[in-house]
Amino acid sequence: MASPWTIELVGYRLHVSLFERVRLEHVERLDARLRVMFGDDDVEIDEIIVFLDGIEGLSPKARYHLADVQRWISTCRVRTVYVSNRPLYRGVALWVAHQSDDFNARSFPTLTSAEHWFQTRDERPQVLRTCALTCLRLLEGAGQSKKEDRP
Amino acid sequence: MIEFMRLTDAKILERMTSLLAGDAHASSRDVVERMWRLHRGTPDLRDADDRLLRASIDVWSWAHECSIVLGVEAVPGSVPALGLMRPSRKLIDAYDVARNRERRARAGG
Repeated sequence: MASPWTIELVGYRLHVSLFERVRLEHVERLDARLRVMFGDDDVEIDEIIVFLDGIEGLSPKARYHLADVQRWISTCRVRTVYVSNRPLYRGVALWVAHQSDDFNARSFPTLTSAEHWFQTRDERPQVLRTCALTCLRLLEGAGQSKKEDRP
Repeated sequence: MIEFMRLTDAKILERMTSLLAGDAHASSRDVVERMWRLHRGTPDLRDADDRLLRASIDVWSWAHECSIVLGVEAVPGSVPALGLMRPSRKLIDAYDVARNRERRARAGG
């Protein structure tokens, strides 16, 4: 039975594409394949890009197992991005990254936006702190504007 | 909005711009389109409006991640109330008992 995923090594990047309806057994097979690739001394991987544009479903059990896989990936010192052109699966990927506690996994709407993050060394908590500071500055700015608006 | 989640970003933009059709919504339409481009990571920030839009995207993504509830396997009814507005479990149970009593009475009558 064909699996709804493909893997391709492009330089030091591992391109993983998920498509159609993905269930637990599919993620288990992907997990096994990844462990073989990471165990191969001749293969060097720095980054993983998981493409989700072709996905039509990801069962709850598959999501939990994907989070387990991601937790294991975090021990391999590689960065992972999930790329999806749909908010639903960006949300699922964010949950996977968050649930796995992998600080070097994030989800993005495009490969271009993911590339920006690859160029930095920021881990996810650092990105969140920066976003939180942005939030505070916005609120401070809004408060300042209100004060200035008062007669 | 829930329906939008399942669409592709391009389709969502198409729907949003069609909802904002007409001269009266031209500026809102421009903001939505610009924000979409910034979210996709394509252009550099060009002015104060872009910086504000970029900041809004950052705040939104922060809110997304920081509102993830872990331990989703918890039984919804057993999760402690987070807000004062939620009625107590005792009150909900008493309400269910009363409603069921009424249903049985109607069925019997």
